[in-house]
Amino acid sequence: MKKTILFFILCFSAMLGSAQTNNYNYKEWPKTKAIKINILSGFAGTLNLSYEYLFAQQWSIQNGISYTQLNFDNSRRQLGLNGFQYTLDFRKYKSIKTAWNGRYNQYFVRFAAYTYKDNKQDSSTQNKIINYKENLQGISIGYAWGYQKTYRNKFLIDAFIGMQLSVPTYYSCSPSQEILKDYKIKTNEENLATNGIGFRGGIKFGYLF
Amino acid sequence: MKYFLLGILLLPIYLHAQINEGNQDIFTFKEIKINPIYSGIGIAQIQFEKFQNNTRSLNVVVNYINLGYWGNNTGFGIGIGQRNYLKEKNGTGYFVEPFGSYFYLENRGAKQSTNTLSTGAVLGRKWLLFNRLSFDVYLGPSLNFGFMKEGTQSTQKIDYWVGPMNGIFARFGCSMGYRFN
Repeated sequence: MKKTILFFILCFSAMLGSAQTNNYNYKEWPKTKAIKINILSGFAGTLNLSYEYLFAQQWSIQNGISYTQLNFDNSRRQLGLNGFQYTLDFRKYKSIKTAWNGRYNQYFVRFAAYTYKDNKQDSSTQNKIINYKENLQGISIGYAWGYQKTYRNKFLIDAFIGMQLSVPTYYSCSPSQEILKDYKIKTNEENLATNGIGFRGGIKFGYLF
Repeated sequence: MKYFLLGILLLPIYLHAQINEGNQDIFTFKEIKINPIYSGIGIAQIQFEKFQNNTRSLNVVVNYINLGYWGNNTGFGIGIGQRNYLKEKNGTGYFVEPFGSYFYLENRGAKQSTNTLSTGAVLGRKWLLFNRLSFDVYLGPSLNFGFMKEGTQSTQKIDYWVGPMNGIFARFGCSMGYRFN
């Protein structure tokens, strides 16, 4: 009887030992969520935050929102650019072995909405000051290539570069578009976030949880 | 037999201690640093960094601002941040630092003063030479809330972008320092 009890204790202690080590390994298991900040966006008056969710070994979805607020105000020019962008990324990591780490391909869809106000005074406006305000919206699709690395299963650094193709979905302005055409104001054609081929790139750091 | 069993029972605890041994290191260095770039534009910046362990430290920044060449502006700034080093090395390599700071700038000629509260996070990298001399660079976005007082008017929130004093901008810089015990 005594021997049997001792045998069971021995088995139990071995299991406990194994459970303890497994418990430790479990902590090192890759986390599935990360929140990130783009460090370069500040120079463009933009705060860019994103949330990435790893739903398979190689695949993840990233939701990104960036908010822009740039208002210059001096005696000659009053310029304002306010708006936001929402980006949905589908990311595929190249390596099967290491989640979150290594090179990846990223396909994205982006929606951008801006309010732009400015004034113009030159020969086309016959030296009059013309104040105008425009609402711009556009959808983009694109591809980015990047590299991500995690540290201590807690932090990450992510760098990427890519291209996007944008089409305008909405435009309104005050005064009307005919009047602005005469003054050669073509923000709706020139803003690369809402029209044309643009560039997308950045460096982000993030926290895994 | 009893001791053998006791030994086996205590084995998991011993293993656990072995596994987590690396986290218990005592690491109590301090660093005093200056910012050579800011000195060039009229800001004397001194930073003091105190390590809590080999991955975490507290960074305190003190600025004295004297922009005599630009509208007789003078002021000061203080800031605090917590640095998290991404690798368990001797407090070097990449780090992430959430921070908060306060700036005061006044123009004596125009009787105008600006107060700014900032918050944000930076990503940086530190190098260490001879285990004593340090050099770091950092960059990240910052959110700045500026309030202005002009003459006898009451303090008002600024509604336009003034770079590091109001609006969304970046915090960046580099520093050179000396590490001691």
